[in-house]
Amino acid sequence: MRLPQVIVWEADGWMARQLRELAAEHRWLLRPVRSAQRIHQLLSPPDVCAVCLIQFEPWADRREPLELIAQLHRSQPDVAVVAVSDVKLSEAERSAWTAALFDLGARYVLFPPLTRPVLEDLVSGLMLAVIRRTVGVDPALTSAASQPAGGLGHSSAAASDHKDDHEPIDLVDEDEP
Amino acid sequence: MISLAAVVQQWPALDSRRCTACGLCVTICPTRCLSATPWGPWLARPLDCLACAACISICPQQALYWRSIPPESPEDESSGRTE
Amino acid sequence: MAETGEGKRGRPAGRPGLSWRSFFQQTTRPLFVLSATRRLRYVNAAWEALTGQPAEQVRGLVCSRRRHSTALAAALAPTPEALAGRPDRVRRPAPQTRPGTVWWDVSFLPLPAPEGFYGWLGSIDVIGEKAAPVVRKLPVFLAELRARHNQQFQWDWLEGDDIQLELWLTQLRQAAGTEVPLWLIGPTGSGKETTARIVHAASSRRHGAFVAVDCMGLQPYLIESLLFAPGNVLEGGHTGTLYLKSPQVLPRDLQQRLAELCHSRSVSVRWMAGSEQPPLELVQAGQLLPELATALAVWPVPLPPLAARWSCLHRWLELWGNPLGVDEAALAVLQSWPWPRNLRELRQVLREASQHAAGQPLRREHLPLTLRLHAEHASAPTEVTLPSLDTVLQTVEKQMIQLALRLCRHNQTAAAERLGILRNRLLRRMEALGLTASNTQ
Repeated sequence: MRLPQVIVWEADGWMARQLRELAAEHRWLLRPVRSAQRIHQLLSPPDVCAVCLIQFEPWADRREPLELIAQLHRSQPDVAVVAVSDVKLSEAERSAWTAALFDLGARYVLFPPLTRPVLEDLVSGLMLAVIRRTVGVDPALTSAASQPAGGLGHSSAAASDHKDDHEPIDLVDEDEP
Repeated sequence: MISLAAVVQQWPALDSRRCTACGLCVTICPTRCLSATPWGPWLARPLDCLACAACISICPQQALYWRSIPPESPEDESSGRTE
Repeated sequence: MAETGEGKRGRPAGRPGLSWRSFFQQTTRPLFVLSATRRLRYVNAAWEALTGQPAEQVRGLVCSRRRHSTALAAALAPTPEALAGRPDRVRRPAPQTRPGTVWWDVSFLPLPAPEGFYGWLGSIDVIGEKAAPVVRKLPVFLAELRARHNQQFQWDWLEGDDIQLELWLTQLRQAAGTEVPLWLIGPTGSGKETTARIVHAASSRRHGAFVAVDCMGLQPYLIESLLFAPGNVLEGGHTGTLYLKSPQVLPRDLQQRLAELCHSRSVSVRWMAGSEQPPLELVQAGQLLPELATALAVWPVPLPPLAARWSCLHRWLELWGNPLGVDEAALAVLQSWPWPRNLRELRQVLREASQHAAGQPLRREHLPLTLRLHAEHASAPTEVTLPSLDTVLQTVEKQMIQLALRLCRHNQTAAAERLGILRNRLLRRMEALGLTASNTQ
């Protein structure tokens, strides 16, 4: 079953912290990961729906992030990949790297200054587009789409009441240790 | 207090060979985290899923099953869920 | 300004070759003339080159340092000394540069008239011009990776035994041999971007990057930053083809800027775009700016429907997980389905079925039930067999109790509180459901 996931592979956890509220607001899974292998594992089901942020280091002898971007473009073209660098480059270098990473299949490339609003706009926009393409529904209509056709015959209002009256446990505030 | 991340690390998965897109799973879900499409359900709001098994137990076709996604490492709770 | 000399207009007597206008126009020093009302009356070619602003656009600009003035107007505004009619020189930050990096020394020479004041002749000296940055070459392994990655985008992806497909391929091959902007038309999931990449890979632009801009998924300001900001992806000639996905969703001002960019000679890139509807329909619907349509939709090419592409199936199976092929029954099911989500849906179905097939050729039973029912002209059973209420309730109850216990580190009092029941009831239910301390870990 498709489920929206924001996957973040970075060195220090900064991006995941910036995206925490956005993911909570949309009720998407936010998955900070530590390896390319873990990303492959998360994206191994045939029905994925994900935005993947991958940190890369220009000129460092670390090929894995760049190879992963190309692999994902080949095997999971519907996963939106954003390449992120926290290294400041000159304008000419930024231009060259941006073009190269788009060529490998990245949907966007970010360089410093990295800010929370930009990360949020980027991830939310790309995720909604991914949902529209892969699930085939307009995310804006998700609430309406969640009303089943037929089934046990609950009306929408009845379904809402059902939740309010019988919600078995309130765990929303439990996620923070 | 333990985080939800450490507790819920499985989500319903769909076997399309069995699903008739009847929508019962969407109807019964107590947290309304599932949404219906003409091609079957999808987990639109996974963070709301409590893995309560209502959808799995109601499915007349046994088309839903658990897919476990354990944390990347035992000490890493946040890899399951972060909120 | 007043003319001098006796010869032809603007030409000093005895100097038939050059006019003073030519001196002004051809000198490498940026010059400008302000009228007494501080309006820009004249700028020379060096000034235009320095500021990047054509003379006809800035003529009449009021140069003052008021709050609403542009950075350029503020930089050219006469100083109080110059306003008092005395020559002056002032250092100001150059507009359109990062603060503190480049400065202008602006000189003002007042031009008094016999009665009154004509204005000022100004000149600009650039101070602290940035040294050209040292641009490091991209690593060799990245070039190799890109070359390997792009090898997969070949014509054989699109080849098949169908006349409609062959005609389409001929069109695309011709398009690859030109620089003409290409507009691909096809429903969502029909493979427009992949087709664009294949055309790019076969074109003379293949050594540059293929840059696909998702106009639906990216906020307009992110697209502006990508295409117009300093350090943008079009600078330096690294981009070979720029593909705009659904450009009609962009705001009109950005569409206008894109149309201007398409016509700009300073950008050397092959343009492509893709949309579900033909560009003309989008213009008629008021979604696509006519200027952008005429710039981008020079060669509109519709994608053939999936039904015309079944002969490509073996290739797709290789790509998507099962090189052993499909048996006839499975093929009949696949061919009968209308594929409302097109190639994207087919890819998902084939990938999922290939996982079920586990290394064997795809058979009918590996395919989704909805497809199989459709092939049989059957509908899903309307009479669903519901599990017993007790079974469902017990399953859910068990899961919820286990969840609460884990959340509360197996503290039963706390777990009961989380579930909104008394501890005794929790213990009774645990016993009834066969839950013990060991099996709830």
